[in-house]
Amino acid sequence: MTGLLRRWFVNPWVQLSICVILGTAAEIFLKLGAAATADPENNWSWTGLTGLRSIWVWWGILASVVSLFNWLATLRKLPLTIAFPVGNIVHILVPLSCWIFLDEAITPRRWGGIALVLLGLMIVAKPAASLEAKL
Amino acid sequence: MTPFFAFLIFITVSCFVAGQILLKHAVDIMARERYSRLHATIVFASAIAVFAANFFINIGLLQRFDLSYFFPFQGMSVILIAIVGAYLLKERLTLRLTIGSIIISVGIALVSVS
Repeated sequence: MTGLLRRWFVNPWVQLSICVILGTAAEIFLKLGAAATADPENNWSWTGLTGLRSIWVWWGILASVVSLFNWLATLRKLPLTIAFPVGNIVHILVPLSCWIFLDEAITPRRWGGIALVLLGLMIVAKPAASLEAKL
Repeated sequence: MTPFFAFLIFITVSCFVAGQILLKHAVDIMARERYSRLHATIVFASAIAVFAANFFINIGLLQRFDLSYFFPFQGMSVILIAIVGAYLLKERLTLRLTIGSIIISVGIALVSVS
């Protein structure tokens, strides 16, 4: 049973799924932390350093780091030209999560823009991943 | 959005792309049979520094903008990678890359006026 579970866990598609989910969660956590520490009056707030006061930002950092390890584990078994296009699913999950969890009002125009970005990413994904692998 | 924040978005996406390229460079250096440890450390530390800059500016921008507004701008990283790749590798941009980049740019423009 443990062996089966382990085999399932090291499957690159499982690792990629965990990576995408944690990547989305990290963005939501970072937004929650940023919102909790926002201080528009402060001229230096753009540096983002005040965000470290929020526990949500630390959760976001943790989720990002674990997601990075999942990404590296994915790339051990899957080529970048496959992992990169599939990983772009995060561009659907993040706006959906904003709408569901953060109650952000997303106008039809913004949905349209998000859809175009996603379409463009799907078109360039393979050649861009090949270029990135060569860089 | 003010020009200052548009500039910051460009900087944070550029930092992300630069960090990825530097990190890959550091790994490539360390994969060689003989390499200068100082050289690898400098490249690796530079990658961490630009990733840190990307991270903190991201937080600063998230303090002002909705995540659903800001996140699509990260699609620009693919365009930057294509441009940097074409420049460094002296490769021509394929028709597919050009069309995809134009569609991403139109999408980002739509989001930015939403």
